Amino acid sequence: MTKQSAFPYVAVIVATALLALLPYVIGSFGLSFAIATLNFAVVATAWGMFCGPTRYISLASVVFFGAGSYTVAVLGDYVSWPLLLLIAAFVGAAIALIVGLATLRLEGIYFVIFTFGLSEMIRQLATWYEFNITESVGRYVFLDITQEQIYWQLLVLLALLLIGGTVLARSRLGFALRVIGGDEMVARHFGLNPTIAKLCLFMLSSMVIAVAGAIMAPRWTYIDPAIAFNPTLSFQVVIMALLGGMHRIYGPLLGALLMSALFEALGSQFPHAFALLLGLVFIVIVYLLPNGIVGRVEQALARVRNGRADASALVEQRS
Amino acid sequence: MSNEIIMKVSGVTRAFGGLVAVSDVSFSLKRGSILGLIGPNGSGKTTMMNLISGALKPDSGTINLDGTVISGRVANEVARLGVARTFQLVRLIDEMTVLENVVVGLAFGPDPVWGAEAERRGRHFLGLVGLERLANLEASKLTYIDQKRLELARALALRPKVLLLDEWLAGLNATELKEGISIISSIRDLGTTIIMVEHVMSAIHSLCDQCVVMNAGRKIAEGTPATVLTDPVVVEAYLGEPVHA
Repeated sequence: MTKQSAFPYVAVIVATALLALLPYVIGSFGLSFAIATLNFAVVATAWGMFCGPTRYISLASVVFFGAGSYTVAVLGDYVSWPLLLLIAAFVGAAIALIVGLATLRLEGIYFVIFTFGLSEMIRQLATWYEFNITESVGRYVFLDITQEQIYWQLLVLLALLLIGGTVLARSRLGFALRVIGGDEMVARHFGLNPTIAKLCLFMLSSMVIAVAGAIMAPRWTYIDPAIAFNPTLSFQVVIMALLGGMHRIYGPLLGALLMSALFEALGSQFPHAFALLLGLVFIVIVYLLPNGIVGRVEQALARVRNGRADASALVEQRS
Repeated sequence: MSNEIIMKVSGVTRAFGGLVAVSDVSFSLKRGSILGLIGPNGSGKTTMMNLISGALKPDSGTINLDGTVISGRVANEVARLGVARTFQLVRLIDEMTVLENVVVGLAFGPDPVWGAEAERRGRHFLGLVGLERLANLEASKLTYIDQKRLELARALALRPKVLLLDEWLAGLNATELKEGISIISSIRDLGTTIIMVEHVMSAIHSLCDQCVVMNAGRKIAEGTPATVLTDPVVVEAYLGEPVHA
């Protein structure tokens, strides 16, 4: 609980510094894969930051991601880049506030369904607006931002997220979230207001996802509601976080690395069976890795440790 | 125990649809005393506890804690104002350690602490209930009595003005019961004011200074354990009407 080793921070900073050099050694194909992976890593980690401790499964990731992309598409020509990212963060937080106030009292499956419905509604709404009001379905994003810059921005965002997430997990607020996730009734009777804590975290996580969407927007050049609000992203993120294990900050990250490698392989080998294979992977996770890879590894470590503890207890008894 | 009143329940009523679970109940609690809330199953004891702890709001009536009206406030506010509770069915955070579970009582209360200080105080409260050896064990691995001890330690860690024990002694065997009673009396000796819902009569006799007896939502008797438990109205509520031969 009060382990305050500086190791995670050092590890994140060193890894970030090393990875920052990557665009110089990999080709444009490698860079494109690296950007996709980093993007998944950011979104999955941000998703896990909220969904891990609270155990809410949100299928609305793409709402915030798309909102970030659209911020850039709409305002890109008028506003400087750093300000764009700031506005995207603000838009993400504002949507999360409204959605959170309406939904964070819901539990379990109701929340899942609502968030999915929400993402469909936003997509339809955006399509309707573009079609009827602006009278063109898509928008072009012509910004002077290179692929390398996209990569570096995502890398910095991921580093900030991991450092922030570690600080949070060690803080009193992080502890509060674990209590709320563990038993909301207990949380209430020990002085916590679960709704406010969940709302703050939901906004924070959504903000990061929106910024990721904004950073990614220049990569597409052309976006329309079907691209920006494609629900597949929401599902992919859930699968990644579940695969890695969502009770640790680095679980979703691990899942994102493995899955984007898998997506890459599946997508190029079996382009038509992609959704089918995705479903199979999901089934495997649910059956074999209920707490993700991280959960499995921790379980194995605990078994080894307990084995030793039992042995030493025996020795103590005999002496 | 002093003569100073720390909590005053006045005319509290709560209905669920047509069922009046608690009807016009009043009693007061002296600082440092143990009050036993007793009565047959379904008499409204747990509803009364939920009304005090803020899990439920009364339809009418007020509950006053040390000069502050706590009725109508939500549970997290009531907790900060000085009411801690245990649950009829044990509720721990299973995947946290024993120590972390106690810190739940320390980190968000009226005088929150965190970090090394929280660990130090947490160990102190574990010591009060005899769990300090198991501080780093996962809570789900505890035996039933140890889970109950942990719930008690967590509630004490909130440093409440009034502690609510909802059938804390239920389900313990004879040896554990003895131990349980001595733990409660030791925390009373530390100056804690307690309201306990209990069915174990020996515990009520040895621990309670005063009893409130409820039946069908109403208060039917009040007084020392010895007087109320021999009161014909109370005996009738528990055992039914005497048979006249």
